[in-house]
Amino acid sequence: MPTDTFLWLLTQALFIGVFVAVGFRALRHPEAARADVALLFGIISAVLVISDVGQLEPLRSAAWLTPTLFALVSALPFVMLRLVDDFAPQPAELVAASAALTFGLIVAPFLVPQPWPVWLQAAPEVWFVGLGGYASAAFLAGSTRARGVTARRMLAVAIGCGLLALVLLLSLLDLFLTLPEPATPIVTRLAALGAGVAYLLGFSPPAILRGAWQVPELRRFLERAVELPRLPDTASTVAALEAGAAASTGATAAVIGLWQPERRTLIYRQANGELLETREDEFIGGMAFSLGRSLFVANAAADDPGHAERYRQSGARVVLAAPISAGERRLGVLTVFAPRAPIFAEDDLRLVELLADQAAVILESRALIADAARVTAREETTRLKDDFLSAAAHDLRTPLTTLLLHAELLQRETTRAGGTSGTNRVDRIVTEAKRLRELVSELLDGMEAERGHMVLHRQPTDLVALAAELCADRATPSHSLRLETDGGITAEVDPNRVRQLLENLVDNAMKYSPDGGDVIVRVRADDESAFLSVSDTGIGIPASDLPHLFDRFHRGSNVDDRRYHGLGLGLYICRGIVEQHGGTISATSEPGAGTQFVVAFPLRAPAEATEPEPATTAPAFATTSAEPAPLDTPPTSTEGLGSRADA
Amino acid sequence: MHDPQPLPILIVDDDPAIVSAVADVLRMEGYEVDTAGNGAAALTRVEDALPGLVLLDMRMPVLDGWGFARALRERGVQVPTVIMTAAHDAAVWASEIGADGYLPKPFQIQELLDVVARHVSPTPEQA
Repeated sequence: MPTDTFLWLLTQALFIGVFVAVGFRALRHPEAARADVALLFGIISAVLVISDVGQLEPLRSAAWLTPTLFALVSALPFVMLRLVDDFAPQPAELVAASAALTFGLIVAPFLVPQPWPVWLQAAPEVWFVGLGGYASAAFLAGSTRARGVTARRMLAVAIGCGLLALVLLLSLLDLFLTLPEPATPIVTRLAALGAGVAYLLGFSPPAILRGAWQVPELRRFLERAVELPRLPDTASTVAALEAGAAASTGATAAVIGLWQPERRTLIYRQANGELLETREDEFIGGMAFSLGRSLFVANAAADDPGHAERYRQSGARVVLAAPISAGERRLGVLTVFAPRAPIFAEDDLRLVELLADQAAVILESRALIADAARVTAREETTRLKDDFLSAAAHDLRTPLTTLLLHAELLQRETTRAGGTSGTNRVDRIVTEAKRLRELVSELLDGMEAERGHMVLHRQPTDLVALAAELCADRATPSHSLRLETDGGITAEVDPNRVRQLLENLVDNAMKYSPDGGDVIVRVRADDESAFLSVSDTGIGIPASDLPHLFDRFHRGSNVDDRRYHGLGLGLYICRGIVEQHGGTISATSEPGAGTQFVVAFPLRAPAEATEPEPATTAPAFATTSAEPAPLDTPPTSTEGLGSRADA
Repeated sequence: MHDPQPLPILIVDDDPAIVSAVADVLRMEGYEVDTAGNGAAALTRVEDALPGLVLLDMRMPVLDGWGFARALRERGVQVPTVIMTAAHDAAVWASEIGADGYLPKPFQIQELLDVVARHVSPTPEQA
């Protein structure tokens, strides 16, 4: 078989084969663009078949043969223009003028009697070379503007149009010039075959080729992706992901909706920066999200009529959406849009799915980085608070020490001198300095409790001894302090904190029983817990205050600020100490009759919370050798502030 | 009521106002008083004459309370020590350096005198 015959048959087989494939697809999914593609291959196939069949004897002289071929060839460039218009909109006037001219060229061969004038003989070729060349140039321009798979497909179509125009150009030249006989058919047939292959790749690329074209885009996306989680916030990351996904798919736009599990909505950031919150199954993206699988929608307005107007406004006709999820966790949905059908096919869904998977990884990394940043910020805040607390403690307490000591010295001197004129004023200074000391102490202890991570130094502590010592220290002429207990109770607690707790409760009891009276401290235990209680016969607490009693800065509604000084932190501090020990604190009260606070502690620290004994139980600098006091005997020391029993 | 030749009480604090106030109180009560503005100065004082008690601030420039206590331990010197501090962790710090007691700032005259009396009042060994 001669080479040119073989090429010719191959070209015919190719065009007819592709026509069958795209024609079948256009019938299955009727779409303007698909119909145009099918029409293009249909007409070319018809031209090829008719020109071959026309060689056969009975048809050779048929009157309709030549006009039909003329009409078909004249119609082809218009179909090409329609395809250009599908990919990249063309001026309406151009389309209309071409339609009119095509119509004229289709009817002319049937109306004008043969033999035709030369202008009519050359008309289809000239028309084809002109409009086909234009289509080729338009596809080429579109290809440079487009990205990814679309750019390659448009390039292939441009080559196809160019080659087909070349075939017609050669035929045109053949009409007027005498070309070298053997060369022309070979070149013509090679160009026609090339056009067939290029059209196949452009209009109906096999999945494997589409996949191969997607790889470099995906790789480029991944290269950019490495940097994405480090962007300053999630919004920037999402915006970069959207831009990357649009670039990789060649889409006009890509959007990411982030899942808000607590509200059961998806949130999109729109181009104008505003947020759009939708139901979880709203829009095609939402449908893909709720179904948990990717979706290809060729006509968004038809498939989601509820939002037809919105799709039309944003020029979104074809929509591909893929859910973004990390394992079982759903993070959101990636949606890409194109204004016209042939830009995408269902094969592109795989790329969108890959991009969605990648987006999941990036969003997860972003969330982890955000978490890490939050932890760092929290640690920084804690550190700043600690620094402030430490500085405040020093800066407030140090001058107060000097003030208090000097005030008291002055008081002593005045008293000793026997003068009466200044005594009242000096007494006043001392009283106010002491009050200031209480307030500063309450404030700083409150801030310490606020930090929430008081360091406990637990050690076996004789609670009875501790309470006995405190009762001895704190009793005043107006208030008697009575300790009631069953006997020695040892608990693993921080003795300084428990002492602070009892002091606060006892001071509180005395403060709010201004007419004096009994304050009873009870220390009891069962097998697991120690119970400390402090009761008074004071003004009591209204029932409405009880639920807020241990809140920060809460003061009783029956408490006159001018009469009872304080910041409302004392009981808050108590609660902090008790909770730190894994215990509970509660209060019962009868206004006008008195109040009882009850604290319960576990006797033993939880196993993991037990700290090693401090190595300093025996003072290194002791001048006297101190026998460690048995835990069940009260220490001989009456030092209210030190914790150690001196011999 | 005090030892005929009592050992002085060494007050160590970087705040001169505190040093002078504490010194005034103790002198009024008849104690011998020595002072130092930081741990390093206090070490020199201790080497010159062993005090009966050190009232030690913890956070000081040059040499702080921890450094001072460590230096004493390294020299094998044993002196009763009571720390004076504005920090919340007074008890913890006292146990860290093995001090004999602590006075949380701000303290009153009576609290100061009680602590001092416990450590420098005559004992059989001192008398």
